[in-house]
Amino acid sequence: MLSRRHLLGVAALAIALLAGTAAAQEPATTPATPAAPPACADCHEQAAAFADGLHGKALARKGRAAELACASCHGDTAKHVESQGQEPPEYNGRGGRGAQPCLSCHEDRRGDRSSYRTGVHASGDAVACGTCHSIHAADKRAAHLLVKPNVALCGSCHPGPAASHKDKPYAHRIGRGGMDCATCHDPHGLPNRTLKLTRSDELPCLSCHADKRGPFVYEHVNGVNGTCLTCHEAHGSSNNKRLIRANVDQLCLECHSTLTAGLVGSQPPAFHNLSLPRYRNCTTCHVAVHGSNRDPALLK
Amino acid sequence: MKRTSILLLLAGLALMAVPAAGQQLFDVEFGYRLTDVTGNEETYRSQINERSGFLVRSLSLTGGDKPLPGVFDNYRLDIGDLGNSPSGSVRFSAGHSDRYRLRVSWLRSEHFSALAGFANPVLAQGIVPGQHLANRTRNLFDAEVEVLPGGVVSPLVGYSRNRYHGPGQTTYTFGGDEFRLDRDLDSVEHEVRVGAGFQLGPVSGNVVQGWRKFEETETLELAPGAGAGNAPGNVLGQPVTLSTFTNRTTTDANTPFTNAVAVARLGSRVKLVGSYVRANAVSDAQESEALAGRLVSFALSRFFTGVNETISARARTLNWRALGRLEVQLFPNVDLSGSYTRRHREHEGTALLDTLFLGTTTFTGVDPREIRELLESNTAVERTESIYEVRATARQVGPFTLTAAWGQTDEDLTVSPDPSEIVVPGGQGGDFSRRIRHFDGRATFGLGAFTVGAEFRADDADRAVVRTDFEGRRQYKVRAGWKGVKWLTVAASARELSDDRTTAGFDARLSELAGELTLQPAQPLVLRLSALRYEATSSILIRIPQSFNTTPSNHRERGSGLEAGLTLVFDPIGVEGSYARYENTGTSPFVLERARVRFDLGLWKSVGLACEWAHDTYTERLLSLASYEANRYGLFLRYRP
Repeated sequence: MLSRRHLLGVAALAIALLAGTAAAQEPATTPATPAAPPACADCHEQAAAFADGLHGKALARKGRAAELACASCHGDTAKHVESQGQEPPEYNGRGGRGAQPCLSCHEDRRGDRSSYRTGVHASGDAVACGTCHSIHAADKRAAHLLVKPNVALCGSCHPGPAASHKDKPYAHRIGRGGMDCATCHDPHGLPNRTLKLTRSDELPCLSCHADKRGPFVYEHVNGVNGTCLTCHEAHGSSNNKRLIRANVDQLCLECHSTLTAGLVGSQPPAFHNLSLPRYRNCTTCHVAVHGSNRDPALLK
Repeated sequence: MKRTSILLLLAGLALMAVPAAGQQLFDVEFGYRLTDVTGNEETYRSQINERSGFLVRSLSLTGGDKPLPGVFDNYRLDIGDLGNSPSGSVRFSAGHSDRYRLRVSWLRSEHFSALAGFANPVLAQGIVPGQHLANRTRNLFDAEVEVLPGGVVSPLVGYSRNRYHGPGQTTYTFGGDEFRLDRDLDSVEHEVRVGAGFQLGPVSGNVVQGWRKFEETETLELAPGAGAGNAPGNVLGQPVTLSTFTNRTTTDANTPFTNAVAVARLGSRVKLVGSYVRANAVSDAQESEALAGRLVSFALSRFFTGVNETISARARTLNWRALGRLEVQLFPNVDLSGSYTRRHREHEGTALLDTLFLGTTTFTGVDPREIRELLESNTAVERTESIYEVRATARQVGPFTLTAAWGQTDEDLTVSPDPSEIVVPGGQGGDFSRRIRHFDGRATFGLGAFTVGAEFRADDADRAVVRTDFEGRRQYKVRAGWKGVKWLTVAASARELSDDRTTAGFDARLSELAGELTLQPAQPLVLRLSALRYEATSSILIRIPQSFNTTPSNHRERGSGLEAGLTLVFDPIGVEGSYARYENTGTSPFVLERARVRFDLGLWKSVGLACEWAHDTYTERLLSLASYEANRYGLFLRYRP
């Protein structure tokens, strides 16, 4: 049964829904935009639509309407026009060279972890700006002018993580609540640094799971002998805590069970009879497994 | 519930206000979900925990041109799974170009854990759930304002509050038996941070100073009716019972931290990056415990009638990390970078335990007196690492792009163990050093519709110092894809990882093979098929306490997954359906099957009604008591232009 508060919430949302719908029907007050370049628009539909897209509007708003000419980005198009499309324009959006017109405006200025020029995807003909971004006439609601929803776009080249999200029983809720591949990954990041690090150079996991950030007085793995990904599989797991093993004990024992003398570190005390099921869920007692401010054995 | 309703109201009011201010992009989906679970409901709650009730599935609101002139010129609101859901979030960002930028987020998550088979001393009696249970909630609030973003100096101030609280149940093994306890936990962490971003010509970056304060209180009490303990029978002719038990612990921790990042551009081809992170955590903990009953201790060779114990502890952990990196563009398609990182961590702690055993008598019934035990402990660990790395990337070498990197890590470790913590004699303290060499390389090949990528990484250490240290690690990844025609996409990938710790007697391997096929025979119909094979093996030695013999503990996971789905959009009707099955035939075999169906009917313009059915079946092969079957039915109203 819905409570009164819930009904109130439903009513508010329903009213908002109607208000939003009504607003959506009002004619948009679009500012005047320059006409599309005629020669290009004869063959390319997107040339006509460009001025009404986000790029076109942004340039017009900034008083740079002159740059709406196709040649601003595509360079010398004379041979392209003369050959009736047989020859490519100077810049056709392919590969690292094709990205140069984009980078003339979109150079990263402040970030130290992201570089469009040297990014992991600046890799030649296989991937260029236009592979992922619809520059001419994207859906206005598509974040960052992406040609497809983010998850489908990344999954088209990275089937492993995409399949893992779908097939394994426990995975992040990709595509809901604003979470997608780009929540954690920086597609423009440097090779081998494709994760979006936090301001403290930490993994992006901590952007949502900030409670695991620490530093704790008694650290476990965090920055000591591993990272979140030492124990967790972010793309899908057979464990409901997204561990890289189905059972928590096997994961813990990989570091804590060796009996060889001569190595420094802790191992389970003698009363942990690991052949009995009751000792196999280590986190039942060691609840503060991400770190504790109180207990060196991470029991509290 | 109250908070959810308030948030819903706020969201509704915001939505009503915004159309008047200007164009916005808005979509929402909300409704009611009904849940029906048969079998082990605790396992279901531990794994899925979606319950019956009202739910805002998603809401996104993005401001258009000048939504509220003078106040903000852009904003975005995202809500996900808010209401009767195990986790939900609200994120809001707004700002005025060149004036300020505001970010506010609130996340709520529930943590329920009551596994049937694990750590359950009464499982043999067929009693589930066991005696270990946690039912807790986390609320995480964060807000940050940056003034004059992108300016020469951009001050920022932020605040976070993280509260974790709720009841639980556990057991306490003491005095010859095991007793069931109720527990209550309440911990709160506050964080305040101030700082500034800066842009001084070719040099930019930010500096942030923050302070975290952590406070926690936990109480444990004997559960009603649990005084007789878990073990039936007497010990040396005496029944072991507990009449009262109270344990209370309070902890305070303070952690000042500093983050600084600076980037300098030296011409158009050279970039220099530097960063520094430091945190110093200091904690004080006080614990008091009092219990009374009829108990026995073989360590003391006594019966006793109670214990009073106090513990006071203080600990400090200092971490800092400094990084410098030089990036050079040698040629238009060749980049080179070199970096040096130094990390340091030190930990020291002291604790004083004062334990007083009350009313003790020997096993023969004489010499009644109190016995006091005092234990003072000191521990220290210090670890410093120097990491060097050089990386080169060459793009567009024909159809190839190539990357190669070499690195070296030098570790120095000093351990001063406390004698009370030594488990295996020898090798527990001293000064140690270790060197690790890294190499990784990757290559991509792209020609027309066909792409192939391969990666390799190797880490080799000269020795293992602590038990977690590897001696050799390898990682291989390959992927390939083809998008030759619009209606068909095919992709496949494989990876293999190995972790070798010969000194420690540990070996682990993981391999995964995945493929995906997307077929769009006609515009409104999309068919998807993905398959996955996953295998993980590891072997380690454990000691059996009764015999002190060692035995290998072998773990194997052999998972195979298959998912098929279709999407059909035929206005005003949309249908989405999928079926997935994952079977693990390894050491702990289980099968999980999922079916999802969503039927969407457009009612009027962008308004529609969605009916959903979600089915989950979890079957644990070794413990049928843990299995469950769950059906969820939902009716949702959506607006999505």
